[in-house]
Amino acid sequence: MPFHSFFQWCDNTALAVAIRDSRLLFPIIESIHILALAVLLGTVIVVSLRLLGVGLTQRPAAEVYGTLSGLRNGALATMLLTGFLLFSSEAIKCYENPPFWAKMITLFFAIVFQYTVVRSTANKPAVPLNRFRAATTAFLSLFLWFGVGAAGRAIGFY
Amino acid sequence: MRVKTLVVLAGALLVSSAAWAHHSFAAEFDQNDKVDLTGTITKVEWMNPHAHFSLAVKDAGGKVTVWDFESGSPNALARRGINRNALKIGDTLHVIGYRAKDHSNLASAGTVTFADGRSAFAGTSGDGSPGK
Repeated sequence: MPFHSFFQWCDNTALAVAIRDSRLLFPIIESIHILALAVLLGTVIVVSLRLLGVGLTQRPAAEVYGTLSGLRNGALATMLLTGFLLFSSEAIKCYENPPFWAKMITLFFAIVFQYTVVRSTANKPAVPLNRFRAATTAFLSLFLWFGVGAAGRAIGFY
Repeated sequence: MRVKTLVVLAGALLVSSAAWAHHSFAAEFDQNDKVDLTGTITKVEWMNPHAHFSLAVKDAGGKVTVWDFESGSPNALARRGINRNALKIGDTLHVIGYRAKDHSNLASAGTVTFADGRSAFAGTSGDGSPGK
């Protein structure tokens, strides 16, 4: 149980207690989390469609990827911050919740995949896309990010 | 003007939704205000993220009061042996729970005991409810 004391500490921070004791803080933070999710998944879908050759094909993939970097990084940072706040307000509940762990593991792989494979596949100006690699990357990226979302939704239904 | 109306509407929606959307035990219920009630099941709402049920509770003078209870998620209840068919309208149920902070006849269900003597925790595990 190496994580339990960390979860316990999170659950006891003043901020976690304040969020837990308020009727409004959780839904407000959750709304921001979901808005950022819409933006982040929007960038993932647009880049994936470009890699699949379905949309924005008149622009190079590198341009599509690069243009969306600000939105993608900003949305991800917002999600991590609001996500941590939501988590800390119910850390002990999350500890006992298998979908939460599934979400964290999927999230780890989604972020690593995003900033390694997706970036190196899409963000190469002047090099023509390898279609097989581009399509595989697009599907894996969609699968990982929607997996994070599905596991997140399952936390409340477990 | 239109923006202002939208903001007010969004605010109202947020406040009203706080009651049925996800929330912690502490935001709604008072862990020091324990209720111990036996009554007849009058309503069951088997839904995510919290199942709800109501009990008609008769006091010593014969006056009937309806109490609403919030439970854990249907999946959590099913794992503890309380499935959709375990709560039947008309059945007698004993509930120990924790009353809403607004002192309405709403409580977070803790331990429920069925007429046949079986009992189980009906709240949300790990959310701070003392009834676990």
